[in-house]
Amino acid sequence: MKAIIVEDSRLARVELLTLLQAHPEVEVVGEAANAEEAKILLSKTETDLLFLDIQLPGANGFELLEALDEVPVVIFTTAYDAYALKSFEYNALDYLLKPIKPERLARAIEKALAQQIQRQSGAERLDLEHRIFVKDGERCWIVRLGDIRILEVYGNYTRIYFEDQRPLVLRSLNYLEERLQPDLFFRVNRQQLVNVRFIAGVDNALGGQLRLRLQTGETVEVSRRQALKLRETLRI
Amino acid sequence: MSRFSPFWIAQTGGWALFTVVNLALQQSVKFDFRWMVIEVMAGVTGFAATLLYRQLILRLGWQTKPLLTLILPVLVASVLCAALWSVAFALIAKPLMWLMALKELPFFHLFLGVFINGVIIVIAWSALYFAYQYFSKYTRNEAEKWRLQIALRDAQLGQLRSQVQPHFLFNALNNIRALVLENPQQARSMITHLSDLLRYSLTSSSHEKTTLEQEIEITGDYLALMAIQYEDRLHTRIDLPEALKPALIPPMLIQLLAENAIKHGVGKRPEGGSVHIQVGRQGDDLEIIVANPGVFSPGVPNLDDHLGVGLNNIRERLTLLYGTRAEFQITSGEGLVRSMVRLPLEWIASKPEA
Repeated sequence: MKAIIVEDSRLARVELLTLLQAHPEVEVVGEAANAEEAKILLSKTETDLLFLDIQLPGANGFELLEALDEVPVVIFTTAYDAYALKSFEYNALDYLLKPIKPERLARAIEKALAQQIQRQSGAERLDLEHRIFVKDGERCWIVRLGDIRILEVYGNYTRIYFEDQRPLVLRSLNYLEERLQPDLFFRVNRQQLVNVRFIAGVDNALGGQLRLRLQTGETVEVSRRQALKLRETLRI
Repeated sequence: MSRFSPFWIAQTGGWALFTVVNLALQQSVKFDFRWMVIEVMAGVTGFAATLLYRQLILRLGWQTKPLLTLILPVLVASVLCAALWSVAFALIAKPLMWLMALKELPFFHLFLGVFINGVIIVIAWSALYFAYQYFSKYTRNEAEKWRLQIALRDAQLGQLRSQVQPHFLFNALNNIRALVLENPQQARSMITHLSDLLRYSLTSSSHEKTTLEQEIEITGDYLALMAIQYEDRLHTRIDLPEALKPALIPPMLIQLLAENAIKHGVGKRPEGGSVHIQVGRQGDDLEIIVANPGVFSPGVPNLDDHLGVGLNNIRERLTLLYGTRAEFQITSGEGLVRSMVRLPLEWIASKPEA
């Protein structure tokens, strides 16, 4: 597993490297002292795992993740951060408290390996296994693309629907659409993208429009222009 | 209630005075011992009637009621009390006059003789009684308020106790852990710095002050520990004139200012920066300035909210300890943020003013 360490203190990086000597399955391919360095490093190096300190000079750890199009498996490292720890209550992100206990590190790596195996199973589903980092106010999630059923315009942002959550992503819908596979996420109208795997049925609506029923019971209007394209997509 | 309480002194003294004045007025016209007895009886029955009246007041709890709502009840009660007094007087005076062979007056005459003046006297008695009650309640309240204020100030100061921040502490421990392998000698000295800082933080109380010399030493410990976190990204300089070393300041004040400066001026900047601590004298005031690179932007929400809390902590402690005689300002300009604290110069007891 190729890993990158993002820590602003050199000694903290040395400490983590020392601890990782006991884990030959993790290969540290780069180190960064701030978010900017980390971003450049991540764009050049193939990375499976990110050890990330939350408090960094300039942009912090959350901001780094928000700027990434695709998020590798992340293990947060933090000294003591009431705010950050609070945000983890809502989801399954892993974090380590500094100074790090070797047993705790071993367990986190085990979990990361399991997550990586899950991600790699089935090459055609790779796109749906991509994960994005979402932070809305105090809460944050790492969301699997396959779990998102609707993406909706909200000003310059995008509201995403998954499970019973609807947080905002700080990206425009057009930006996201360009990066998503068109046969997986379909543009039904100006406002919305829909995950085709969630479509449960199609009804005719007035004026040649179509109405989609999702597995969750939600309905989505398809504009006349897009209705034709949708028929083609679904026929395939 | 003790027999020597203000009420009993006033009650006894007041009615004695009433009797003496009454006697003087009557006897100056025509001296007669038998009439003196009758006059004394007027005073004694008045004394007794107002005692009963007071029992009524206590029974009804009037002394705790708002003064304005009492005006009418007190007027009615005063008339009743005066009537009781007059009846009692007449009942005693009538047989006494007969016994002493004085010219007998009708019962109604005797009654009216006391009642007319009696109403006014009992109203005056009521006015004095309630005025005293009100006044003593007011002073009691004032004393209580004052006592509560002191208790509150102590409690607030206790809460404002500055402590080493957990984030800093665990980062320091993590760094030392790496140093143990890399540079054992330096690791040992860092453990000493951390011990000194922790001891100081745990034992210093926010009620007492500390010398500048000690505070600067502890700030030095803190900066040494921050230097292994930031290494070449952090530069520090401390200017403290020798003469000011025995001056007194609230503990952890400069440490907290330095922490704030590092967080903003170094921690948030990838390129790092330098922190400059300057202590000087301005007339009768002590002036502490901590400067760091950056631009001051109050109210910007950030991850580590405790710093805003820390600055408020400084402000509140200064107000509680010095009132308006202390000043705390943060200004920015020329790429620097300056935190300035100005407080009255105080010295440790043995040191004469320089």
